Amino acid sequence: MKLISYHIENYGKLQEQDGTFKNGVSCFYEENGHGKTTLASFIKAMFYGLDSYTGASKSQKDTSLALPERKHFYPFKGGLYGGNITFEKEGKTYRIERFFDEKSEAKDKLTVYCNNNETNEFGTDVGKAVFGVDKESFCKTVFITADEVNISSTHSINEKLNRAVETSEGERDYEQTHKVLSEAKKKIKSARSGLYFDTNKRIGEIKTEIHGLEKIKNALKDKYKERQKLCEKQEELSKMRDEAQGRATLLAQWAHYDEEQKRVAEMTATQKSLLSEYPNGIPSEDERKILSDCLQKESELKGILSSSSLSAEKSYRLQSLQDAFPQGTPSEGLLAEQGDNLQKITALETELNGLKNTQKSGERERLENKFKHNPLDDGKLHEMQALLEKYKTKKRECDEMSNALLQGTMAQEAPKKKNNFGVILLAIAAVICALGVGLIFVQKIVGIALVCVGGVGVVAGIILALAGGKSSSAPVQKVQVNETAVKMKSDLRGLEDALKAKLIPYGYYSGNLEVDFNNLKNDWNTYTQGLVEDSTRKTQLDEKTNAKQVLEEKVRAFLQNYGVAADNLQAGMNDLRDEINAYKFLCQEQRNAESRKTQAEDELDGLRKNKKEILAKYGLSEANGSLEGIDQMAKDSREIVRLSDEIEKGKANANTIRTKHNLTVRPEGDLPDIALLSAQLNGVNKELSVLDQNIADDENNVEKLGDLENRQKEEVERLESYEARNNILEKALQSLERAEQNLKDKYVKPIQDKFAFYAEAIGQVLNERVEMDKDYRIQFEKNGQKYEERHLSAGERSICALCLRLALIDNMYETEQPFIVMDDPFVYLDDAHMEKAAELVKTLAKDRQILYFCCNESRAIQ
Amino acid sequence: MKFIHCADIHLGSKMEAKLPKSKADERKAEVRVTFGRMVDYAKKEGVKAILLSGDVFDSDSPFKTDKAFFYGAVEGSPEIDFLYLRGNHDGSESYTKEPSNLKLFSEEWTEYAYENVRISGIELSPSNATSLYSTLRLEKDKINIVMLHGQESSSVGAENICIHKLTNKNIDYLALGHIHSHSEKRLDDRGRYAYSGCLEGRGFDETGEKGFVVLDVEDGVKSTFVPFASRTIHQQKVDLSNAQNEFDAVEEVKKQINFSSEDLYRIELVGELTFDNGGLAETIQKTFEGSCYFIHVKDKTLKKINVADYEGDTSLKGEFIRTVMADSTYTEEEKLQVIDVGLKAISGREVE
Repeated sequence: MKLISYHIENYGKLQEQDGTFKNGVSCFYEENGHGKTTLASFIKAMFYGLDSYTGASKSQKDTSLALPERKHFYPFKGGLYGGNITFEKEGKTYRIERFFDEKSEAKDKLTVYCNNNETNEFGTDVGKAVFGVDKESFCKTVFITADEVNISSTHSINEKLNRAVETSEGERDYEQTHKVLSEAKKKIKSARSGLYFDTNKRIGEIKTEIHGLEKIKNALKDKYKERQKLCEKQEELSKMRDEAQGRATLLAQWAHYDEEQKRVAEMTATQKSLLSEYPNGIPSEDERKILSDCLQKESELKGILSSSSLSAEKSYRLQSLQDAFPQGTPSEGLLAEQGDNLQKITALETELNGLKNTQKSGERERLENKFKHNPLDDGKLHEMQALLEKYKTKKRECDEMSNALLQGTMAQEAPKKKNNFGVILLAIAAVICALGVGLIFVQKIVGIALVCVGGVGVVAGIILALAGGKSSSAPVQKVQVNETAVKMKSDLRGLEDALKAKLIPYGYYSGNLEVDFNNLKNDWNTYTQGLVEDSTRKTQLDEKTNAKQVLEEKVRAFLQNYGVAADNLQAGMNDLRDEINAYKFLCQEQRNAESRKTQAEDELDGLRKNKKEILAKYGLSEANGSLEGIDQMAKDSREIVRLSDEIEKGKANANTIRTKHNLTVRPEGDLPDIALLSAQLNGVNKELSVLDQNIADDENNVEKLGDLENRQKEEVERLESYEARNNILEKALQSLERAEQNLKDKYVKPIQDKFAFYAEAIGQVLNERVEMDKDYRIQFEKNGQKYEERHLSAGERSICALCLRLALIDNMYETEQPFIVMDDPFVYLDDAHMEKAAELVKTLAKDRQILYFCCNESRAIQ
Repeated sequence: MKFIHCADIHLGSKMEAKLPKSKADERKAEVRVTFGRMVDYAKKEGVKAILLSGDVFDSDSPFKTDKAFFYGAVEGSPEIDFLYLRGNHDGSESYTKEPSNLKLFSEEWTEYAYENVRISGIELSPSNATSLYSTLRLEKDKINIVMLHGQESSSVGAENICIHKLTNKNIDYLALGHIHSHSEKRLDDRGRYAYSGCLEGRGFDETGEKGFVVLDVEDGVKSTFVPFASRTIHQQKVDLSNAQNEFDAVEEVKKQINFSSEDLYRIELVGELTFDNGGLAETIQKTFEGSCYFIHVKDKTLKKINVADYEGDTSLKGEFIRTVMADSTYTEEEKLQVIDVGLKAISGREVE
């Protein structure tokens, strides 16, 4: 691909300018300010356009000196901003016409012609379509300036190089991936740590443990053998001991038999000895019973004989009773008569007590007190009766007069209330006076004082009553009271007072004189009736007391006849009855004793005869007939019988022992020491017990073998899984490394080769070994250490940048190489390297078009 | 007349490695208990003799506990004869008691008679491995049961039973021990041979029904296998390739396995998963722990990688996959594993 010509309407300082490009190197050597960079920019702008800008653009902010290209190259003199450029690509001639707005790319005008015909073949992004890379990548490859020394690739370049080695978001790059896999591998298996190491260590430990248990297990076989031997020894000793014990048992059985025989012999001898004591035999049990009964009866009869008369005490008693009753005991009739008398006495005592204990009522006591100290008689009572009659008559007359007066003169006037204060005072004073009179007999001074106070009160009361009667009866309209009425009233009061003076000392002062008088009269009657009753009771008391005394004398006299003197007659009668009973009982007892004595003497004679007969029958002495003798005979008899039984039993036992144990031949020889054999057997048992415990412990331990082996198996499986995992990780790492190398071989190596070629062409500017990664980052090695390219000098870096760009271009465009724009890229080179660079450019220009701009003659390339 | 043919009790044997200790101990006890139950069964069914075709004990030096249990069972069942032919595990039993109802065998043919039934046996050893076939003499008119312990084989050997050499020997039933699964095959025109299998499975290499064989002898021998183990051990692969997520995976397991609360299960998860497997084995283990006596889940699934998806990928990821897939030294499984781990690392995920 090559540029053919251009036309600039206005672009920066350039205007109405046309030009052509030749093949090979087109060197634009001009001093600064002639528009070299403007032309370079125009060429780029024709393909890629100019970026829009608004106000202070980003680049403006970043670098205050740099202006946006669209602004920077805006025509100084105005006019149409842009032009066209004609180029050849793949045999076709294209012309791009672009006219730019001052600021906005959207307002630009773009027209592309192919062979003078407008075409839309490249779309709007003409540069990308023509060069296959974006504007940035274009600047990093075919558009070479001295400023752009950044040595790296771009996504677009990579795309153009047909590779996309950049990592996506979240993915790890080669180094990171390698690190992750290496760490995972290290975690599993490293020299002194990691899962593999730990597991291996555990397996070793388990193996050691297993080894130990295997040893125990193997040792167990010997212990089993030892146990077998001990068991055999145990069995042998056990057998010997059992045999010895068998013999010992047999001997013991023989000894038992012999002992039984010996016992039988001894008992036979004893029996024989006993029988020799009784040549005519031993009296039978019945006979011994007769002898025994005889002895017992003798004893009983002797007792009866000795107790046939009354005791001394009883005899004395009987004698004294006979003295008390010389004529015999009194008859039951007499005794019954005295009993009746006693009952009558008791009844009289009850009646007398009743009369004595008759209680006076409270009312009687009150009346006695009343009338005892203030006596009353019928005369006084008649006097008071007469006064009451007068008073009643007078009062009736007064009432009639008052009514007549009131009806005649004060028919219209309502009756007035009478002032009763004086009357009340009069009544109270009368009571005090009466109390005083009553108290005079008890407390003379107090009584007199009260009578005086009462007297004063009575006078004052009378005055007030009279005054009250006047004042209360004084109406608004005065009434004339005649003298008769006044006198009648005065008389009435006089009668009233006289009657009250008689009643009040007896305590009757209710205000109603008639009632008070009737009460007094009734009380007096009650009092006089009580006095009559008391007199009657006294008479009865005297009569009954006399009757009782007569009866008592009768009973006492009866008792004295039998020597019984008693204050309490009933007790005396009881004593007499007891004496009579005792006398009768003792008389009967005396008669009974005499009868028993006679009967006992007869029985005793009979028994003694029988006893003699029995003793004579067996030739026994009288001593044998004694109680001890009879007991001895009984004992001997029982012993002889017992011995007979025992002898029979002993013989049977001996036979049983012999039969049961089959005692035919007595064992001969010495009896082994059973204790020793038992001790030996115990020793073996203990040894066996210890060994069994030992075996049990070992077996318990050995039982763990299974678990350990399982654990070992598990650990080995784990180890194998780690090994497998490690293997996989190792293979993953190897594969990753190979993949990385493949990428390098495929995409980087050609670039690196070309880079080396161009570097060589320019000269050995880089003394160190240069490497390139997949992102075309250059590193160089110095003194065994790797450095990034930024540690190189400016000249070295510009050479590296140029070489890389050329290398990239060579690889990006394999079929048709594009033109290259070089805007004074070698400003940092010294003369020697500049010379070589010029040679390189010339060489390059053989198969591509190069537009070379420079401002210094030393860097001009012809 | 009834007999029981059993073998490989392995009293005192260790249990499956994955079992926790408490359950391992329980299972060890269950081995004894099941033997005891079998003896009870024999008593109840009026079995004349129990034929123990080897490996009653797991070790030639059995523990006292196991011996005490075994001899206790023998002595406690005087009405039953125990015909004890030792196997390769209990070869030199050092603690032997000899109760009257315990009938032993040796390295020479020994015969016990029960009416018209003859039970013969020989304990295999290098010295009789070849000769035992020719020295076996059985009467034609008797019912002949032969006991042996060893591996069924076509050749002779100290631990082999050369089946074809026992044909046409008038054997009615060949009661074998050594193989822990029940099987019965025809021996010749007259007889059959059978392994009773063990009474209880001890690990995931002893799966399936376990028990003993009841021999009902009248005119001939009628054998019936009686499943008798306390628990059955299962091992099953579950392909989760169709599962879209963990939930699907659990459902798939549920669909494929009918869990029994008494049994032991080992489940091997296989297949290529389309989803990320973050502890799937643990999830399934936890989900079904309550549904059975014991479960162990082994995850052998692989992440499904569609290599074609990365063909145009020019990134490190694509290059990595292409590099792995192109490596002929890797197995296909390794390739998937390497890619899985590599992709995790590149994708910024944790790599364990």
